[in-house]
Amino acid sequence: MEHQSRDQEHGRIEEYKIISLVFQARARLALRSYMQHSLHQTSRLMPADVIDLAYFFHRDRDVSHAEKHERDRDIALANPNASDDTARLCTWLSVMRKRQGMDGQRPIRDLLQGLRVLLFGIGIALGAFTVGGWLSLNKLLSPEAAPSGVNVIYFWSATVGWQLLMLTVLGVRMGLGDWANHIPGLGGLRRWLHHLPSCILKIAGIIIHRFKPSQRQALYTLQAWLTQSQRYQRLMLWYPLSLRQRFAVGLNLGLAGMFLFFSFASQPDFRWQSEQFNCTSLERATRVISWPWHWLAPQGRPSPNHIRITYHHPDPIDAHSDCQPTAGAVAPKWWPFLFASMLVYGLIPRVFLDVLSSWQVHRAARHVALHHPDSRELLLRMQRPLVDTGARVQPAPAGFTPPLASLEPEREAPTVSCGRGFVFKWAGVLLSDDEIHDLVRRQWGIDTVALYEVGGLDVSRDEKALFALETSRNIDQVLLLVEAWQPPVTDYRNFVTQLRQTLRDDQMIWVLLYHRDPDGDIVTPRESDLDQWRTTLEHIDAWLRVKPMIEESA
Amino acid sequence: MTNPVFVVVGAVNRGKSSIVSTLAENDAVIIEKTLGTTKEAQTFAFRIDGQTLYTLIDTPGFELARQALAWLQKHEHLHVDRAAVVRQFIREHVGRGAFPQECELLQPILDGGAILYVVDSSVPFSPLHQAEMEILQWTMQPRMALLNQIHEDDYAAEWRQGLDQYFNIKLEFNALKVDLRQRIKLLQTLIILNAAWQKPLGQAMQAILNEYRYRIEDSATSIAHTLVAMLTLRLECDVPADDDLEPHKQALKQRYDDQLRLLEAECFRQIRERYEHRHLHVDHTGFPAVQEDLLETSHWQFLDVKQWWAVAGGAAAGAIIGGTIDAGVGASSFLAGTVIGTGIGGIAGLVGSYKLPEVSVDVSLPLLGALKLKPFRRAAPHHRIKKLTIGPMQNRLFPYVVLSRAVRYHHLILTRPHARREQLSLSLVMNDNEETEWMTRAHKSAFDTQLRNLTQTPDGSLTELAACIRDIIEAYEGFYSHLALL
Repeated sequence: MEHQSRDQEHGRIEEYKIISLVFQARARLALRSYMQHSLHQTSRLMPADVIDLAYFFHRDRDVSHAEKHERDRDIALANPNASDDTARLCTWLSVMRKRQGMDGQRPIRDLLQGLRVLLFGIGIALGAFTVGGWLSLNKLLSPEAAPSGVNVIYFWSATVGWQLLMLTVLGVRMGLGDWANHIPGLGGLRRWLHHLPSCILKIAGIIIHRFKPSQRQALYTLQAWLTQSQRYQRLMLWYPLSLRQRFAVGLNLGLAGMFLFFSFASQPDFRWQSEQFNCTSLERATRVISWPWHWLAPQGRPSPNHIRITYHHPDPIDAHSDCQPTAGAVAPKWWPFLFASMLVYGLIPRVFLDVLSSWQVHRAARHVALHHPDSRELLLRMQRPLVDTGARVQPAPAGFTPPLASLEPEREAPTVSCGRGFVFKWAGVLLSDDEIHDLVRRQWGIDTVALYEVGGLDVSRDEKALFALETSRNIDQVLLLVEAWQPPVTDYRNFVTQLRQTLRDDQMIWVLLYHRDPDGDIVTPRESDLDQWRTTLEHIDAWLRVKPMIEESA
Repeated sequence: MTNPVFVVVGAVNRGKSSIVSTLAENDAVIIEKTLGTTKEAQTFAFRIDGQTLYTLIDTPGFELARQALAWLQKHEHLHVDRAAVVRQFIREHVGRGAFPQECELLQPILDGGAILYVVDSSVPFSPLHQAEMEILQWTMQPRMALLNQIHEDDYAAEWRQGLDQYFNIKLEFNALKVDLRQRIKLLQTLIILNAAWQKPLGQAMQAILNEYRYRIEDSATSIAHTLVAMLTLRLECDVPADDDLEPHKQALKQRYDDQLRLLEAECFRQIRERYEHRHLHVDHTGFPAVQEDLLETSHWQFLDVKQWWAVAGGAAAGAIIGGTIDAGVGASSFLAGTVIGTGIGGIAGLVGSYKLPEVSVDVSLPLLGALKLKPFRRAAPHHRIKKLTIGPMQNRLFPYVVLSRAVRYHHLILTRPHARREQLSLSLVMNDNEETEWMTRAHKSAFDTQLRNLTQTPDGSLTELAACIRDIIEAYEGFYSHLALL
């Protein structure tokens, strides 16, 4: 039997060992994945990031949308692992800081962290100095001047009581929501507590007005930045609170630490004296105050006899009647009660509020960063594809440069009139030979002695036509009929040049512009076409003039 | 598979650069009536996040098409493949000055580019173009003809007949009047040239549509920012108490009015920039070249901003006040307060509907000065001042006026092809025969809600206001009909 029970026990122990190992392994695995996640999780927005964001947005105010889009999209494409908005913002901030030459440096963050450390240190120092100075008073003063013991009530009020009051005010401020407006009086209190911080800005405005005009502008700018706290409202609520709690945590640590040290090192003599409290009422008060911890540490609650023993009154006649100690009383110790009070009503709430406000600061920073209108636009720019339609390609300069000065004829050019005409008809002019003969005679009284078609697909016909002109005699007018809507390209210019080489220098060349409407009727060419032909051809040949084939609609 | 390349070719001054300018949304492309503006082939790539989907190449026009074709026909016997003859043509003439334009436009085609042959369908078809079309046919590349009607005359039927021999695909595409739908249609048509281009061109079409949506959103955001800035604008100035106030009041009012105009000008500039109209000529004074001044109330009635909107707002406010009085007297007034308040509020809204802010004078002196104690007055002489203030804007119609002008301006910019080069001088006033309602009742209600929210949480409501304006713009543009294109 004994053997069996030993085996059973052994089995249970082994079972517990296995279960314990499994839990340990799971815990290690969870911790490892958390650490890995934390290491890769660079995406956590802090108040310093909000400040940096505001700074970069301010710098971007004069940058064009296109440049910002290109820059931000490039950052997004270079960092595809950023999967949510927070990660994208953090990535963007990291890249922008690097470009600013702030590689690895975070001056704002360091400043804010330094501020927190400083406040913490000041709190510790202040708390330690307060308690240490108070409890050392009797050591510093002469025995006649030194008070007999430390008044517990004063000591408790100074170290714990006022903190309870501040916590109550804070609780009221935080606890009053919109529902308070329905309760008479509470609504007003809520509004007063809510607007209390803004009084600082109003006072600042009054003070600013006292400055010289030259100084006011800079101060108004600062005030304007502070009034933008509407955007940063949650952050402006929680961040100062977080700083205060950090100070308060330090203060309570200093208080509690120094108190413990003195309690063991010099064992101060705690007594109490009060006209308002008698032993019974003080005993009730300590019972209420010690309720949170007395079940855990009964020595943290002073016994009624304890209270009687430590009661002190210089005049025994006026002493409270219920404060007579019983016989066989144990040496009293107030320090557990005081220390527990410091912990429960001082340090622990402040630590809790510190953690809560830090968490809320991170939440508020994240909220501000993500919901800032400029942040929304930034995130959109990072996510939108960069579409380049070629809009920003710089085109090459124009190729054609007309001559600087027009060539003036040596004598006044004659008008197209009378005589024998040699006509070149450019391919595409849809007029028959007879129509051209008739038109030329009617318009200018010219007899057409020869008409050749040029400009067709067979380029040799151009040369034949020019040769025919060269061998012709007694030609008064040379006419070239072209389609007005065709641009005077190199082909035309070359032909005109060749034509000039065939003629004498002062022989006029008339380029007649032919145009037809959709019905096929010959009409006056467009003014723009006429100008283009004139600008191009009359500049290369002084004895060339461009005219419409008909001056008015046929 | 390389991405598609489209070479825009044609005769001189036929609108090639205009088409490229419109498709690439580049208003810096030089478009002039002078001859031979384009001297070199220029590439415009359509990219998304740096990845090229297709490329447009603008080329100079044919200058010696007949002679070039004659050369090709003369040397045809040298090669089996006509494209090889064209390659030889380029090899022999490039850099030697003989056929510079022809070499410049044929090289990208032989490098694999598809041909977009541009003709002007407002001029008669001419057999002169046959040489050009023949040369293009020799390259043996996919090709398509674009009929660009530059002037009022229409010879499209003639051109279609003339192009039949060389081009299976013909599309009318007016570079000066094209809209988003026609741009998308062009891309859809280009897919026919090569089915393998469906993916990149499909992505391009989707990207263009998305980009238009983003542009509308960004424009709406700009308008929202401008609206908030205008409605909250407040200027002050301190004037020595002994000075004549009138010149200072006029100067302050002028500064306020100019600031409002500048805010609107900046908004319009951002909208132009968003739509890549970077070289759009505007009025030299820096204000948008619109014929109607923002603060010229005589044109407000033509903006489809209904005066009863101001009456409604005033009446609502009056009703609230009157209703409060009724409640205070325990309804023994038989709602007379509400009725009277509505009437008075409505009349006040109507009377003040075209009233713009005026300068007010704050005669109260700072705290110590008001005590008029001699020591303090001597100690702080700069406190003997009067403060002039103007703003913020209280006119109930003004937000609608700003919004109406901005929506119209946005429409004009959105529908303006980049090929147009004339100076932008727009009349924002609606024609009498236009029946387009620019803001529905639902949109107005949403807009009113956002304006009210602005007074409470300016920053928080900005995004919602921008979204509301975006909805109004999209409805105005009939944007949703464009989404059916894909």
